[in-house]
Amino acid sequence: MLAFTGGRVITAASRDIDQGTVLIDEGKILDVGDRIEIPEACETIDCTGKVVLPGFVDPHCHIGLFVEGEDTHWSDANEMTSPAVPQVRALDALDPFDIAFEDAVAAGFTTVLATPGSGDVICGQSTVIKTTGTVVDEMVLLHPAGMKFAFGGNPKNPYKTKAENHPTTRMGVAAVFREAMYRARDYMERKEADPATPFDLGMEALTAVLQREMPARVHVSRADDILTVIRLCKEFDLDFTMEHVTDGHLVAGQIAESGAPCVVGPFFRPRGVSETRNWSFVTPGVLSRAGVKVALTVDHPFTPLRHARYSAAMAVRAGMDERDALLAMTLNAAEIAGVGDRVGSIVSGKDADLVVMSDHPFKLQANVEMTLIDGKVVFSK
Amino acid sequence: MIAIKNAVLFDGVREVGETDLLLDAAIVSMGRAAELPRDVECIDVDGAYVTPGLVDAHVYMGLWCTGAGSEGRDHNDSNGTVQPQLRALDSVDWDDANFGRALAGGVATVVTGSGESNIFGGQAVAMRTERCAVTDRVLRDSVSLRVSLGHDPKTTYSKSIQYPSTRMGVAAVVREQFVKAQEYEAGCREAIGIAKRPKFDSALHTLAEVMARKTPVTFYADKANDLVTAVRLTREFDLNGIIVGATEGCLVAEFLGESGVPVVFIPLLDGRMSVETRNATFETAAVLAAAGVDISISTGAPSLPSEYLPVIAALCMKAGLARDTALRAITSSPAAIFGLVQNGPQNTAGPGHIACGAPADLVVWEGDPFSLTGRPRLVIASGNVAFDSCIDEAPW
Repeated sequence: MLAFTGGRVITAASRDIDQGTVLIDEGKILDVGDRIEIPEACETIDCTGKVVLPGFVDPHCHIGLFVEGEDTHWSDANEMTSPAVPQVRALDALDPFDIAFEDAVAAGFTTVLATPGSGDVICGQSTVIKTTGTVVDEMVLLHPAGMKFAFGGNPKNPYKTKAENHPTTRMGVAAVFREAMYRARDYMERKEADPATPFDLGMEALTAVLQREMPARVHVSRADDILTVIRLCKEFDLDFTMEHVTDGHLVAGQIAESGAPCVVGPFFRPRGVSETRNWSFVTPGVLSRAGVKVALTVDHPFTPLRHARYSAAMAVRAGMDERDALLAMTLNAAEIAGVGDRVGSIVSGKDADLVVMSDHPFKLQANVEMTLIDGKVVFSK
Repeated sequence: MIAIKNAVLFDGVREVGETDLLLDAAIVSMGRAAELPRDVECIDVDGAYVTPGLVDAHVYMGLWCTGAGSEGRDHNDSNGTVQPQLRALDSVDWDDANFGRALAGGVATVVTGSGESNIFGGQAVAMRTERCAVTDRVLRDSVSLRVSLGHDPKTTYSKSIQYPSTRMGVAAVVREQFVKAQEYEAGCREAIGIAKRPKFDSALHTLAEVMARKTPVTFYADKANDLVTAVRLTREFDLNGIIVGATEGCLVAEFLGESGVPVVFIPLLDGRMSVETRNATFETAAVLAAAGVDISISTGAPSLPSEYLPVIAALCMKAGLARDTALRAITSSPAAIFGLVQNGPQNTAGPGHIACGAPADLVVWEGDPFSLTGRPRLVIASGNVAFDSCIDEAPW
């Protein structure tokens, strides 16, 4: 049993506690509050003057797939031998020895959704992991955590050198999506009627998407593509999230009406192409205010997780409510990743994933002093 | 004419405390004014922090343009790896949105030019980001020659079998060209009669001029071995060398400090997605400065958009760089190494400075420029308000 005492506890749940105690035991949060009796023989860590937060969560990253310190052409993030590869799983490629994991825990990130993509229209299956460990199966929190799709410029460009049957236009991308979903619906109905239907790994995965057993996680940037994604996901009645959402501030009303949560970012990037020309830190704040459930992403490694906090601070500078920005790195991110029951806030019963910081995370001089995953210290300054 | 009252001033070199400024297109006077001339617009900034317009020393904006896809990429000519004769000014798209965003972020002056695909990329141009008459926007053409070492030029033409394909090959090409330029120059000087003069060669002509005029030569290099090569080549040909990039500068900081070669550090906010960048850290700035290196900081925009220059300088400061050094690194230091400040009694009447006679480019900050929440409240370029956070949409 371990108690963190005297610090400002940002719970990401009901309310923050100025001088609070967080009690953890056997990898779980036992209790949190300002009038907690600390049992005898309980080890305490004095957090007076410090801030205690839930471990940060990024619901869209490529950690362990685009491995830092290696050249990108060795990466395992994009299968890209066909525009639709629903059968591939991030879990089968993820490298726990990516040096980025060490940085991630040092920056307070304890849970991430690792996803393939976004070079294909249908990129494969994502997985949610804790950020420490050497055996990926032991790190998994949720698998499969969603099917990654991509719209716009990314899936239409890579095939110039890779596959033959590639889309080269936006309508071509939509056609690949629609055809795959029709084939999956056909497969599903056939299998219901005749259990002897030949097994198809990809179609099995898309069946789970059609049956809303796993969400569609859709890479999309431009406003026109956002509206296409909403149209197509409604057509097949999918449970879906939108990711990046660069032009989101231009069509915030339509996004709010769709009910889709948004994973917004990254930001500190060149604005070289039409997908990115409107990249702005105002987007997450505008979407939040429009009633959209918003999480932030840095699309690691395009911006590394170790700089994610600075991105969130920039979003606040550009008008996002400070609490919304915090939720976007904690509870909202966990809920969108599908693991809100396990992580993302400091409430009793959740995993003991905690960060102790010297100051508020959006202040430049704040440092992470300690990170815990499942009650174990994985980083200490 | 504008008067800025009650500014807490960083003049490009040091903090000078609270004072008043009188501006025309250039800075007219500094210090507490007893009486202002008539018809002066007075802006009381009430103790706000004021810095010179920032200087971003190694960017590609105007050549690598925003939102324009492949049509907006004019920074890497693909006709061979030796292209010193190319002038960035001939590629610049004056309308690139990067300029306006940079200015709204406080960046008044940039040195923009070719990319790193070729060994000799071309000649950079020093420009104002302000949208003014085209002739006024160019501070100096051919302000430096861009040379690129290491991974980028090594792999540009790797699909065809073409020399060079190794780091030693890249260095050999640089050496060959400078030797040829020396011979070319001697041939032109010593030739008796036009018939004996070497045939005009635009690449060698450019290199000979660079050597004769001591035009700065920027060596783009990230890995420690390439940084040392840049110093070796600088000494070998007695060049006015500047190192740009310097990701692994922290590994050879003492050597760089002793060499006297200034460094334009481009910190990496991106992932370390190559062998070149796997040792990237913001601490490099502080380590280099401690070793006595004359350091500037640049975004490499639009890789990282220029409006985030103060943010990366702040991150360098968080990683140990002294505050004044960090501020100089984005104002007076880059202006000095590119020779943009050569007027006035203390060499301060130029970009990156607030001094009498310097262009009236300055930033009035809301909050501390070196915090994550600090941002420009007013950006003044040539004495005119170019960005007002109360009226204009911020670039981020």
